[in-house]
Amino acid sequence: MLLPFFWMVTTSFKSSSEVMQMPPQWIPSTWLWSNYAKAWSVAPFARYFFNSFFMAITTTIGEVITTIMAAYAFAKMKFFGKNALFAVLLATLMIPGQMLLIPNYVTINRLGWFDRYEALIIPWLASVFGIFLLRQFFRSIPDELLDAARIDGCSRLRFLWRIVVPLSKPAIMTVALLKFLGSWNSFQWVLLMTNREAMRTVPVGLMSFRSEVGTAYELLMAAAVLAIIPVLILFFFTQKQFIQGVARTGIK
Amino acid sequence: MLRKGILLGLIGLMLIGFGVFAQEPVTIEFWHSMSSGHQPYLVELVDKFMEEYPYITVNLTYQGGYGDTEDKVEASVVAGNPPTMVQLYENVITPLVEVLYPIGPQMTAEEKADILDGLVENNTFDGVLVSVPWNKSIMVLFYRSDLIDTPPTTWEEFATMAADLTVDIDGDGLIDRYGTGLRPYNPELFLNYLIQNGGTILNEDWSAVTIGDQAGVEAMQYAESLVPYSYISSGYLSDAVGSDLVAMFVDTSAGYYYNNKAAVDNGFELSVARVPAGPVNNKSAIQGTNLVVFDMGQTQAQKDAAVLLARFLIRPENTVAWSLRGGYLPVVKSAYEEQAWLDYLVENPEYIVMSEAMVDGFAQILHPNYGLMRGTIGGAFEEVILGASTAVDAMANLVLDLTDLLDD
Amino acid sequence: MEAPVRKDRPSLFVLAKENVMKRKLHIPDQWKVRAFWLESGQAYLYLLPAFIILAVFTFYPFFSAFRLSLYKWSAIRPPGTYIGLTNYAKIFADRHFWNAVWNTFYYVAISVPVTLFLALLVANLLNKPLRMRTFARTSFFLAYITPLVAVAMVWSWMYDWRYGVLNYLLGFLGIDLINWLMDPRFAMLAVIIMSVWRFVGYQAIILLAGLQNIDKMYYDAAKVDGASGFRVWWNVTIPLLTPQIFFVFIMSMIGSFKVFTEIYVLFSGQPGPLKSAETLVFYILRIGRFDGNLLGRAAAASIFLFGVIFAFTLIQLFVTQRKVHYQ
Repeated sequence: MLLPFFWMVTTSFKSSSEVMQMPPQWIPSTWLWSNYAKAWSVAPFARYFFNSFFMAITTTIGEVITTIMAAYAFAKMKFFGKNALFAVLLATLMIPGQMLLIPNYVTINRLGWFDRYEALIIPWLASVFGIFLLRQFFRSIPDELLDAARIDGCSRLRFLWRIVVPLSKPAIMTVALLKFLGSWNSFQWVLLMTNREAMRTVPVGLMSFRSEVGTAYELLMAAAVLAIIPVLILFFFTQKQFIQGVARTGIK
Repeated sequence: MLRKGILLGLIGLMLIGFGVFAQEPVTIEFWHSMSSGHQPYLVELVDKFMEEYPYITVNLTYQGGYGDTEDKVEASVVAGNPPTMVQLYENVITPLVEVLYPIGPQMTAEEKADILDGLVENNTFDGVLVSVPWNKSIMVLFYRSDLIDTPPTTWEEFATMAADLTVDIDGDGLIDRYGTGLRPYNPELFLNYLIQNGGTILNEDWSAVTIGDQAGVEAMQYAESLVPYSYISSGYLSDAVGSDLVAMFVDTSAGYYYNNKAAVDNGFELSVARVPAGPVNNKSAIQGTNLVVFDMGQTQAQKDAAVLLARFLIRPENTVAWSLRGGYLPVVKSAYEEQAWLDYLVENPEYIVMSEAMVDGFAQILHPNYGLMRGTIGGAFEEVILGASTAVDAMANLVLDLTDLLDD
Repeated sequence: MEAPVRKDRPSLFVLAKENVMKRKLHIPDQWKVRAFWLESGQAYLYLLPAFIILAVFTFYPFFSAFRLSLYKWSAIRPPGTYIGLTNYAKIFADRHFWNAVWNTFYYVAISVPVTLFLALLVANLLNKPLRMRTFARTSFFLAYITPLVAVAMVWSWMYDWRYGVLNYLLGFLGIDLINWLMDPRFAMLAVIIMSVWRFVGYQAIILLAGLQNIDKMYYDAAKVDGASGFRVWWNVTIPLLTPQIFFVFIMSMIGSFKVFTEIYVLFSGQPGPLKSAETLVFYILRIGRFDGNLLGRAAAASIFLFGVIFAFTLIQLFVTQRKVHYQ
């Protein structure tokens, strides 16, 4: 199960002659840290990382905000057309994103956002899945709490941010984590909506890096390791959250 | 005293008059695909242009490779704000003609007549010269002059020589060097033979696919016959040459620098000859892009400025300068008589061959779906040289696929 | 909670609510209606940000896809010229389209059941109190969260014909060198193997949660009856796990119809040798962006893709209504 990771790391430290060897060398004879330096210098990884972080952080923050608000409305408020709108939301779950690639490409162009940050960030500021998740969670917060707070003169908004949100930390964390991960790993969308080297995120940059170094697998693997490090770090700190969050999706 | 005053006053008025009527400064955007190898020379030329026309400022923007630039252009057209000038392939120009500002009508008759014949046709849409050719290269035959004394002049000779040159040097049962090299998905050899066999991809009015006719089938069968003597490479053949894997191959003249370097670095000698002649003619495929000026929101001043730039770039001395450094070939006839070019030919005789071929070359067709068609033809070519399909079957399928792309 | 503190001038709204709670007043209908509309207005404001984004980038493109598919795309005059159903006719006549459909179904038909089966085994394993349990769980999950591009790159290296680790290991089983990435017969299989590896952990986690959710009493009841081992598994565990199994099955199926990046990276932007790994999504992007810009046809193929996914989802929902056992 972990073989690919093992292979990724060990190859990244090998010399180019060691890489192309049969039978394969399991442990590199010398640990060439220079491969990493070389990989970093061949392509503008600093830029790629910046773009990825920028995209991931802004979309996560943005989505968390819009999702909290929308979920709260569905969970705690009564309004005209509530059921209809909720049904619409449900229906969108049936829409495969891939079907929307071409039309969205046209939209992005018409807005003049092609090859710009707007194209990478704005479309991802909302998530139906997130709304469902949070709504579920918010519903479990007793209505009496809201009523009592209203009597105290607490506005809905304050109630939301001061009480509901802190109580829902686990669920919100899950939404945020999934979003961050999704943004970081986003490839198809970025590939389609950007052009310039300066706009590439890490996954797309990794692909273009490959066409530049061809079969220099030791560099390729080094770059791949670099690409997964942030995710690994994030995962390390939020393991429990993550796995629990995923597990919970199966339990309705 | 008074006379002096009046004189000064008149001069002053004249100066003001000139100032008022002098050209308003105008800025234009030029999107190009010239990467670091060619960019400095483009900058040089554009700087020269801006010196000659000080009121014009040209903003050069590198948009990546041809594919990326095309994507960017399409995106900008949909958004409604394309640049003033871009370099594009002919088939990409076709669907854009409506929003382009034709350069031809702004040129003098001499300028137009000076453009190489094979290139005029491909820049003419509905009888109007819309674009002008710019960075062109031509298919030539590269051969190891330390292995081959006289390069083949016909495709039959080519096939025979390729067979002879495919050798197993160390007798281990594995072929060490092939006569030639082929790249799957890169159907240049096939396309060249097709035209030289009198064939075409589509008919005159694009209503039918003719590539499957006798001429086309023969072309594909010829390619098929080369397979046993060909090194199949997924990348550029310069690597193969450097590794002594091929004795000769057909490639674009723009690759001359890389192919030659690969050979020389490894102690070999490489020469250039015209592409072998086919049964009907001896034409070679011309590749490269053309300059267009957009008419989608640009001011008249901008359009005029861009036209001036285009005309500047194809002036004989400039197209020569561009070709000398860029490994391209001049696009106007008089350029081939420029001293600078003649001097260059003395030092680089391989370019003589290329020059001759240019005058007699053919460029790609203008069909808007040609990009996809080329991909499809490449796919058929790939099937044949990988042995997945016979030439006849592949051609039959190809006709079906291309008919699908004829559009309406 | 301390006694409620009244502010000086409670809003009409608060007063009204408070009085309702104390059942002192009968609220006039107009007030209730006004309250309702006030709340609606507020709610809409809350919904606005999310819904604007969804409207522009999910609802609108959904309908736009249908529209685009009826036009011959033109960049200078989007969406172009109306041509009715011609795009559909063209793609149905394109052998590469059907190749893509076939490849996609092949991928789905194999990867979904295989992954699910393996995930079940793994979930069972992880359910037992083993020492390295957390480590095992993490390592399975890692495959899922790692960026796909990096993963696919390692795999493309492991699949290398001559120097790849996979062929080396297979050699021990007596299997000849397989050119995974250049042989049309194996290309799709290569994608499937990598996908299975990627998703087993993710699915196992979900199934594990389901397993742990099963009330002990069922097992106790089975023990009372004297049942053990396989019978228990088959008659108790599996039926009670069906919600998770079907959830995973549906998600897995829908997800695998959309496969693209795996192929793009494994084959360096190509749809496999001789298009043997071209899936529907790849086909859509190829004729729409990579090789050509036939956006109308790409949209038509997108609608087809949607239709297929929609149909399968409906079928499955229908089936699960009947077969899923809830506790």
